[in-house]
Amino acid sequence: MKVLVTCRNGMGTSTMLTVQVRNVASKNGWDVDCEHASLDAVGSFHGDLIISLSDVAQELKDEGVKTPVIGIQSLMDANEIERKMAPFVGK
Amino acid sequence: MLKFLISLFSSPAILLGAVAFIGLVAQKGKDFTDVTKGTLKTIVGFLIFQIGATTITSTLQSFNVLFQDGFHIHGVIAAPEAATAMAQGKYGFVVALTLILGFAMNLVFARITPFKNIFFTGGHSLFFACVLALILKFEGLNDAWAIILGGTILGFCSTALPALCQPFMRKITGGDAQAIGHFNMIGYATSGLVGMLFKKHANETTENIKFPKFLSLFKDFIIGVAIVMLIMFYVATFAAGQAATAKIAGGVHWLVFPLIQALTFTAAMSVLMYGVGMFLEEITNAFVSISTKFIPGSRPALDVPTIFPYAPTAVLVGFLGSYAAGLLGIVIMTVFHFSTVIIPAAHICFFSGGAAGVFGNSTGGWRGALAGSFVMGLMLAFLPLLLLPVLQQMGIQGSTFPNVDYNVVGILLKQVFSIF
Repeated sequence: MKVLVTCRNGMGTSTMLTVQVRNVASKNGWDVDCEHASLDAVGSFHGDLIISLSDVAQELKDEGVKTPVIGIQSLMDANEIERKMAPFVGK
Repeated sequence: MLKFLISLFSSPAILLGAVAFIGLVAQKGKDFTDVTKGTLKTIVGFLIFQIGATTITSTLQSFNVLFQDGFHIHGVIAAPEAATAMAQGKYGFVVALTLILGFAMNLVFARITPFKNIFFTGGHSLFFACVLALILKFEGLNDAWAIILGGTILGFCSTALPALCQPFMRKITGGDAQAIGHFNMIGYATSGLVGMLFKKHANETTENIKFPKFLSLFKDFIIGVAIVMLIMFYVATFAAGQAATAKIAGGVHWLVFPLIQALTFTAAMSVLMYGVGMFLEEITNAFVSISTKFIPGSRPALDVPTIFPYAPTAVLVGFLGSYAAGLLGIVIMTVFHFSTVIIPAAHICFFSGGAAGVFGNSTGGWRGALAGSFVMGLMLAFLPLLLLPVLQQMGIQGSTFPNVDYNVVGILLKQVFSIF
């Protein structure tokens, strides 16, 4: 599964969120190929899932982004990431 | 052979690549592909960062010439990325090693002191490392001492300063799992305290306010930078006049030159941020695995957008409050004939002002958000003036480091050195 982790400037938040997503994926044995970038990468992303923090995710949904988007409220909450990613894995 | 090694590792890109390599090899479960990919990406990321840096420097030089010709004062854009870029050529090696030692010392201090914060916003660590390196080199320390002292100060601030904000962070996030990691911590805590003045109205939160849609333009990092740079370049160009602009425009029409320069600056900024994100990825990764393994009870201090989901509208209020303070700063600096005018950068006010808004909102509702971020904006505008003479002598022209913590620490450090 191809995942884009994104935040506004592609630097701090998305880097950390990527680390979290990878940990969750390897813990569950999910095959996840995860890139991180700023929001400018969203338009040219042709993968399966976009992950961001919930305020940014809501904006992406409002803009009508075609790829499914999930928003994380609390970056350190691995359970939240796992719960929200699970429905998309293996599709 | 020795010459080869010195030359190889005095390139900051290779140095950081080596750190990533060691980090990757030390983590179990990383195969040959992971190690190669991570090491190369770190090196290439840093080189991309340097390419952005070179272009930013050249566009800022044009801006300086125009602004100075037009107004006969220095115009300084408060963008730490650009200021860091300008230090790369001469001090890149000291900055890179200060950054690495700072990471290591953060872990050491988190282990041995009651502050358990691990600072993960590598971009900000880079800016802080750069300010420290410049001040210590200005004071005449040799490279080794500058790195040791700088890295130790950076490591201590990384673990200790987030503690100032933790009481407010518990209020904002409703838990104690996360700290804030962004070198404005003194400013954010101040904003939280300012918000307490409006304690009675704490329930009238920013989240009930509706904002006009065009303001969301500034949420986009690139657009925010582009708009402000376009305005600044055209103001400087009109002040300098046709003749002075044509002299540096190299055949480009004098009214087209500022357009191209402002957007080139924006493009370079985007390149630079892309590079920083890339070279920090593996280093952050290693940092996470080391800290979770060796520092029990450690708490991650994370970049400001991690608190934005808790009060997205407070971020906009904070942006407006801090930018208004920055503009007031320009008026004050002009009216009172300061030798330099600090020009607020939109993206800094968005992230730093926005976070101050979230802190102020948590204690004093929308009134707290507005007042707290306004105070934050004043700090972003006026604190850099104190370190400016040092930084300008070290070759940082036309841009400077606005964030609160490294300015406060830098000013204290200067005071300590002035005793000897």
